[in-house]
Amino acid sequence: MDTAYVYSEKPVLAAQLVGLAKSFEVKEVLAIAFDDESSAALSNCGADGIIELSGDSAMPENNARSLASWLSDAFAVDPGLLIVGATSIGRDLSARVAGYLDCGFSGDIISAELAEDDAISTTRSEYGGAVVLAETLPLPAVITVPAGRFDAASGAASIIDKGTLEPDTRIEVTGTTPIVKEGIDLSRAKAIVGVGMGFSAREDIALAEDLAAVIDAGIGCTRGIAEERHWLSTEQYLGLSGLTVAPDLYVAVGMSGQVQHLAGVRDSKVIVAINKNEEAPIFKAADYGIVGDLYEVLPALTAALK
Amino acid sequence: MSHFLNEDQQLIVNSVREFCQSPTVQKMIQEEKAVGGFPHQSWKAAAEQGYIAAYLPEEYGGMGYDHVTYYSIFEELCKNSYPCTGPISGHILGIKAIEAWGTDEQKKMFLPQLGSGEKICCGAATDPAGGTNFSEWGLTEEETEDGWILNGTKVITTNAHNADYKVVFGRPQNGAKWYDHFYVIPKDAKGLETGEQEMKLVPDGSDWGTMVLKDVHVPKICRFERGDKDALWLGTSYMMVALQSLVLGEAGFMYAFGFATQRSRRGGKLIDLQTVAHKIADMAIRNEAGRGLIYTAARMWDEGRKEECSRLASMAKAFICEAANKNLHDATIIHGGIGNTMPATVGVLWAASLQLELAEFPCDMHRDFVIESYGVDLDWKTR
Amino acid sequence: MSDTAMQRYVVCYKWVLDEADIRVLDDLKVDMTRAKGKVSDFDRSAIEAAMRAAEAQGAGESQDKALEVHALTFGDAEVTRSLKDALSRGPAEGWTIAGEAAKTADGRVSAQALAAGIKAIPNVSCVFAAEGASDTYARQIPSRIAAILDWPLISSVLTLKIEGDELIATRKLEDCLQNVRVTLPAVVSVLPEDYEPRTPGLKAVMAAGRKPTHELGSAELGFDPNDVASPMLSPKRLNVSQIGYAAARKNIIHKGLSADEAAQSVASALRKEGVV
Repeated sequence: MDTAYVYSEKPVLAAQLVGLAKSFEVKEVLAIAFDDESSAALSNCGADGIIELSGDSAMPENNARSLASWLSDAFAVDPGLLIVGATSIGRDLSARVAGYLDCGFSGDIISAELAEDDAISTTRSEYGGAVVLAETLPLPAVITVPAGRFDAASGAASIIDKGTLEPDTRIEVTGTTPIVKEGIDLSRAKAIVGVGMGFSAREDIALAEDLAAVIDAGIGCTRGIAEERHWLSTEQYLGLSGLTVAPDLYVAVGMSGQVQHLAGVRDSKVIVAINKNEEAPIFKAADYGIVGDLYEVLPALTAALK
Repeated sequence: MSHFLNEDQQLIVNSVREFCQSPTVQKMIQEEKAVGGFPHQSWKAAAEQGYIAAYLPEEYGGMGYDHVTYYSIFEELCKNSYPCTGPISGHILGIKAIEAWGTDEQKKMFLPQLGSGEKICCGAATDPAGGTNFSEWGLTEEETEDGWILNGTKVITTNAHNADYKVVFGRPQNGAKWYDHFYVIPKDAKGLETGEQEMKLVPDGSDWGTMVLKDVHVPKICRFERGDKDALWLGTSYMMVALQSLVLGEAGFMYAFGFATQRSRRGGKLIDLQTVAHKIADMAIRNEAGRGLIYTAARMWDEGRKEECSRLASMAKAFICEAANKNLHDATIIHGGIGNTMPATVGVLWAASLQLELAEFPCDMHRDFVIESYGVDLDWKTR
Repeated sequence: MSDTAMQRYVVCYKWVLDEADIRVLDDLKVDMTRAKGKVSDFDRSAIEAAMRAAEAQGAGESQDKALEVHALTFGDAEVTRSLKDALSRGPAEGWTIAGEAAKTADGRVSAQALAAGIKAIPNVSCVFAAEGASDTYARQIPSRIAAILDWPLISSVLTLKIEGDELIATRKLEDCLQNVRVTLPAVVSVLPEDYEPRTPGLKAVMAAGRKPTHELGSAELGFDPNDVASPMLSPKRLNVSQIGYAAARKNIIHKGLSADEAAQSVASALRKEGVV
């Protein structure tokens, strides 16, 4: 493969995709944009060039068919890789491109490496996070990558080629309502304190907040706290069907450590666990643990970190 | 459930579990608990699903299932702590009486609404003098031109107040030594009053109370005669109680096992102590023995082996209701001091299990029924 | 109403192994031998979405013959066992594509098989699917099916409504809700949030066994689902292996110390790690 292509409607994520592509040591890494504004936003993403393929559509996803056709021509000469940021838009678009190209696809990858004979080897999660699947896709192929997995590249990037796409016009956007998020964006937090079902009363979450204040952390929780007890919002629920985060530090307080929750936090750099049951699975997933009553240990940890 | 369910039966049990655990049902259960009183919403939801009396033929509001399947459904509801399992059990007692001793006309009158769960019934047997202390009952039954006039009291009856139809057992006649007739009385009958609710040792807000009959007139069509039919069907009602105990017995095992495998003692686990391990093994043994008795008896019933079923049903009731109490007692003790605190569920369940030892006759009476089934004439029954 | 005039919504579902029964052994090998099959959790919501969309237009389970929901699945020979479960949730008829090729299938193969199945079913105006299956959660099938059929795709659907041949949906994206409209035929992939599946009552479970089912083979599909060498059914991936997830953590666990002692020890370690 000489050229790898990256696309994300989110410029920060696009730069991370460039970072990943650069690790493959290909001749060039090109970022795709669908309009002037997007090209401009990619001006520092570190790509070797920007391909501006303009198609007039309110939905980037509608460019899938036409983009696949454009890539098909490129891949006929040089079977390559399309790396797309794993967002709702990205997942929709990327798999459709893979469908039109009738090529291999690996979504929400954990890791990716170039393999011999023009192929890409990836790993990804299955079965709720309990299993890691490794597979090798012959090129051309499409993969998607979640935000925060890889370090972003940087450096000036400019448009080196332009083209036009014919977006699929069958779907019409009739309106958009922004979703207002309250509180810290946990996906950007450097530290998070997780509240589990071991807390007896809603007011006791204050103990977690005390620790969070000292270490400048956000507050997350398990599914039960958000969806059953409704003590915290669903935006704070970390887990397989909630948020996936990778802070530098995750402090898991009063939770047993179910697989579905761990799947959302296991990429944290350091995990600390506090639980009164030494058999709790959370301790296997932790770097540091304290077996004890959270009502004693949590305030002690807060004090020790002041 | 039976260890030998076929694919269809497994699908049915899975659908019951899915129902109980669905967010909508969970929410409904929480809301009902907060309000208290008879769980009408849960009852309706279970009725809509077809669970109430699924063993009845479709013409009577059931699904035409066999008893192995029906008990598997009921057990699954108990396992998931579905609110109206106690009420369903009381309801079934009344239904089975109607089904067994009713004429076709009488069955058509009552079963469709009761089988579907549209209406609720109860089986009122216990007189304040004692359920089988017939000669000292206070109940009087006076025959008139067109029916009967009843005066008396029935106590500790499940669904006493909420039942739309009360199945009220009369005093055995003409030298009979066991129940031989009953009346079906609608809740709005003149002279029928609901008395007090009993407060159980472990209050669960259930309807378990008294009804008072003051010159209640019952038309002929509402009196059901046993005639020369048998009372073997009672076994299939006893097993509803046994199933509830089985689930409690299994809870005892799970609490004990969970605690003992997590609790540390001198660097090891509590379950490493052989005495503790053996106590827990005995719990599992009792549960499997009880399960075997219940589902064997159920299969006997399904195959028309009524007498064998009746014997095993009383064995099941006597055995598993006491076994559940024993399991929960031992589980509570294994928990140590904590077992004796609120809100340690295991201790509460132990106290609650008493109810099932006593419901539909205490276990000692079932030992009587077992020995009777071997051809022994019991003194208290022949006197 | 003639059969050819009857419209169908086809909902694709997958029969997966229950992830709760999977065991990861000490050597990280994955033991799936105890896992039982189930209709993927999210697919139950997709079935629910299809049923609600049809019922809102007056389609009853067995009454109205102008519009029906049908279920379609691709799997190995065992997959026919999944039909009763799927049909108990509302669809009027079930279609299976069963063959050896399912054992080695990747998303490409599954989508090819399902798309061929959809083409073989008469009068399909809308295809429903979940965003992903509870085992792989790859989130590619609906997109690929749409591409193969060259139908429009609406993904990440929170709610939808169909009136005649117009489909209106609200999509939930990361930072906004997007309202869209499309003329059928189309493919929709739904989020489970607003589509809590109805639990089949006993009558529905019983009725499921009596609903018509069809097995699609070479004649209808143009390929034999058992023919792993067929170009339609060859996966676009090699060297597939599964290994249990192992957290490579330090596992320095303090027990038996006082809260203060343990806290001091952890605090100092965290400072050394540079995370506080």
